[in-house]
Amino acid sequence: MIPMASRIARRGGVLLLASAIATGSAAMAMAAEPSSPPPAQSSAQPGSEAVQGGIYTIAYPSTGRAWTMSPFWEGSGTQFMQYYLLYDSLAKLNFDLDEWMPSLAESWELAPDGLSLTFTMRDGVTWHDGEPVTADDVEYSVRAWLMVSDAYIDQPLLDLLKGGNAFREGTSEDLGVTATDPSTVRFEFEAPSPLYMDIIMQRPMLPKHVWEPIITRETTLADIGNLPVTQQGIGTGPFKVESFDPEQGAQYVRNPDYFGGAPNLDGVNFRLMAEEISVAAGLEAGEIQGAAVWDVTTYPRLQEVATLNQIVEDAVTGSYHLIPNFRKADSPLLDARFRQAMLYAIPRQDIADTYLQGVAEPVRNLVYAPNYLEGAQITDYSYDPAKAQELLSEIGYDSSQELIFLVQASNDGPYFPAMQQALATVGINVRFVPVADDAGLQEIMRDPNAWDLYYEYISHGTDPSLELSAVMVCPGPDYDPCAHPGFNWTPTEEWDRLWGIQATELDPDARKAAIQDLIAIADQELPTLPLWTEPNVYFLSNAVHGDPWSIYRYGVWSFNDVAPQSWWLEATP
Amino acid sequence: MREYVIRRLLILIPVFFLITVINFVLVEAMPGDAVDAMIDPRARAMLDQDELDARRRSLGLDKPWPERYVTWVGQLAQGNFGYSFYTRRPVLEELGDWVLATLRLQAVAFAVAVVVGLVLGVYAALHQYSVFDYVATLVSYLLASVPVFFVALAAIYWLAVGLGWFPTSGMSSFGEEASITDQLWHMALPVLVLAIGSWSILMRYTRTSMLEVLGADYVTTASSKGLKWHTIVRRHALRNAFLPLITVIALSVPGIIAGSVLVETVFNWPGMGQATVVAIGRRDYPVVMGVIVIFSITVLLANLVADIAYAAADPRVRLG
Repeated sequence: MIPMASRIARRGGVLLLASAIATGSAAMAMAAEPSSPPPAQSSAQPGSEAVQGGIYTIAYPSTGRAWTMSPFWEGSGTQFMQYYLLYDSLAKLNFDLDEWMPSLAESWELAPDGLSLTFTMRDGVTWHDGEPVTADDVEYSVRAWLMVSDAYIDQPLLDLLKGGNAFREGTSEDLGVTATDPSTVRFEFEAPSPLYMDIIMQRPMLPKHVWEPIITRETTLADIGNLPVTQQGIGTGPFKVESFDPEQGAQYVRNPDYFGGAPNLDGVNFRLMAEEISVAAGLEAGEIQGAAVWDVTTYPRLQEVATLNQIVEDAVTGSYHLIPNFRKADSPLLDARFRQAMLYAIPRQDIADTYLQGVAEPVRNLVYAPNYLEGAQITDYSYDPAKAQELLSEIGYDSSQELIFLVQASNDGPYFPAMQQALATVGINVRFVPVADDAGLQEIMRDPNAWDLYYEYISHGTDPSLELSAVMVCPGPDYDPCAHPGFNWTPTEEWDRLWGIQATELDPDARKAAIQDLIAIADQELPTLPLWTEPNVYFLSNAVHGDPWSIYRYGVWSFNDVAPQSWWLEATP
Repeated sequence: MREYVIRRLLILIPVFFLITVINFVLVEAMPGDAVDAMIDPRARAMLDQDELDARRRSLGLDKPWPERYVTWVGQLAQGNFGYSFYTRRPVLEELGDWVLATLRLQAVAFAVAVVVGLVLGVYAALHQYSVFDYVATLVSYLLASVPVFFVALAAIYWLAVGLGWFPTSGMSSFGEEASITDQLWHMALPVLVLAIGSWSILMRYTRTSMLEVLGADYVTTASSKGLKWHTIVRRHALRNAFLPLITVIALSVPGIIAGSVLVETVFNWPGMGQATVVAIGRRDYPVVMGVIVIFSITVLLANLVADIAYAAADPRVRLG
């Protein structure tokens, strides 16, 4: 899964999914469409030559979580940036997310039965402190990820690795990852998986000599965050930590020994900023040279700034959906026809074109990946108020009732009044209830009768198992242990059968057929009401270049070819 | 005088504890708790209720709030503000740098507000019905009535982005050695924004107070005795006009503290205001209460200083 943590941290939404995969599996030929070219390219111009030197200042708007240099995942969006600058994995996806490329490993081989995977390490790679990287480090890294008691670990990783669940629970020390010699490491799996690479390549490799004396089964994220060694961020990446302030930002300097080639830049400054308005002002004043900007209302102004380019990433990261509360007794939302009526009643295309400044597009299904939707049985839920009224009439909907629609305050988009009016037009009255933050939301949602709908961001990745897993997080009414009480649509037996096929099927065509059947069920059942994408939008100084864009690309969990070593700045006169 | 100060100090103690009780209850009333805010929601999905309860127990959140309040007060009495739920560092250590950053901003803003407010107020009173008086009156009403966040945004876009006179945010140039000049340059805009509301109000009060005094019989008498006008103003009018302003000045402290929460956020100033916003989002109760304690003590002390200064200036007060 790709819980778009940075976006979610910023927008304050609740992450939905408990088990899924990060990105597309090239091995299974399930790639996403390549990212759209930006309206104004910031990449290296044909014939232009990278300039050496300079400091690239990037900003990230967030106050929700403290910044840490910890390599252990804390759900902080800033960690994406650190991963790309400081760390590497064994392999990484290319920028278009459709092919795995060597990284710390120079090659790998899957056993014919799909139950083991062997990596051959690249020679001569060193950690930032000069120590050599070995297969032992890889074996230790996987163990360390699973040992930190409160670090989030994707369930697929635990299910995939032989002995993963028992190791995580502390009942066994056996784990299916072994350094067979200093340059070879073998992963053993419980069962074949079509997404083995995606599952393994989400976390950075760690230096054993640094972390082994520190990490025990009692270690927590807070313990790690306070350690001086954590703030050194020792990895293998193209940049090293120069200085770090958890509230203000970090300075990185080039790692001239980077195995992927010495970076062009002297350094990168990464500024943490409390407000998006500060980011926008900093971009406009030239104090910041790159940032993701989520506040669509600032786009028109920034688009007018001659020194800035706008880059709209393809919607690989996620979309907004309406989440019905299936736990509420006697709710009209329990009837699939009512959910369909709601979808017909919302003018999604108009909202995407107007309120979302044309950077968004309506989504057609719980699954986003276009290559899976192609050929799948999909209903056209385009705006059709007459059809909505027909469905409501069919179920005898009582228009006098009012549905409670929870919206996290940071997600409070300008389009809600339009949605409210459109729904009221067909006789569905909704009352928006803004909730301050994630903690408040969790409390309200515990009462099944306190709400009807929730507006939520669902991560895509490029593999459909991400979105499909969303409806399996909390199957049935026993929601208590679940993070998100809204996700309790009870999957049918057919859904469970198809889910099992897609989880283990190694044949791409057979897997695609199973996923398309799941898409068809989701199309009719609407466990979520798909609304629109809101892709990452970056504004970069036109003095910034890179291969391809010089963006920090949060939201794609698997390591991928952001290539900070390729970034460069035009010399200013 | 000593008795008066002691009496005032004794009154502050129950007031302080009342403030902390009210705020403790308010913090408690916020929906959700630190466990909700702290754990990655996906990680929470993999924890069962027992584990969540265990985490609440480990933070002491399973106990009723009165019991936790008593524990907190007990620790406070020993100078221990508790430990951050989030970073586990002592709250005072956590707040250390932020306090200094905020104090620097607020102290300068306060000084600017007082000096500018008094000078402009006196000048406007001495030049009543002049062009300056009319313009100053108009501008002061305008600035006092515009919300601080709007002033902040306007200042950023006009003075920083448009004219390029100031940086848009931060406490110093990021990644560079912070010189005094650089720090002052970064401080100028947030100080201006923070001080503007207070100095506008103070200017209005000063003008009114001065006009009242200048119309008093003793000023007329002094004038008729042939004293020079600037001597009358300096020796008789100013001291009497400033007397009621002591309270106004002291009461501007809470305004500046409240304003700093917004100003620090907009200007990315790493102070207590920003820390408050972050701590509330994390339901980091010990840090929130730590901030409240520091802000409360500051406001209470400002009032105490005002009372003492008033008493010193007017002996009738301590007899009351």
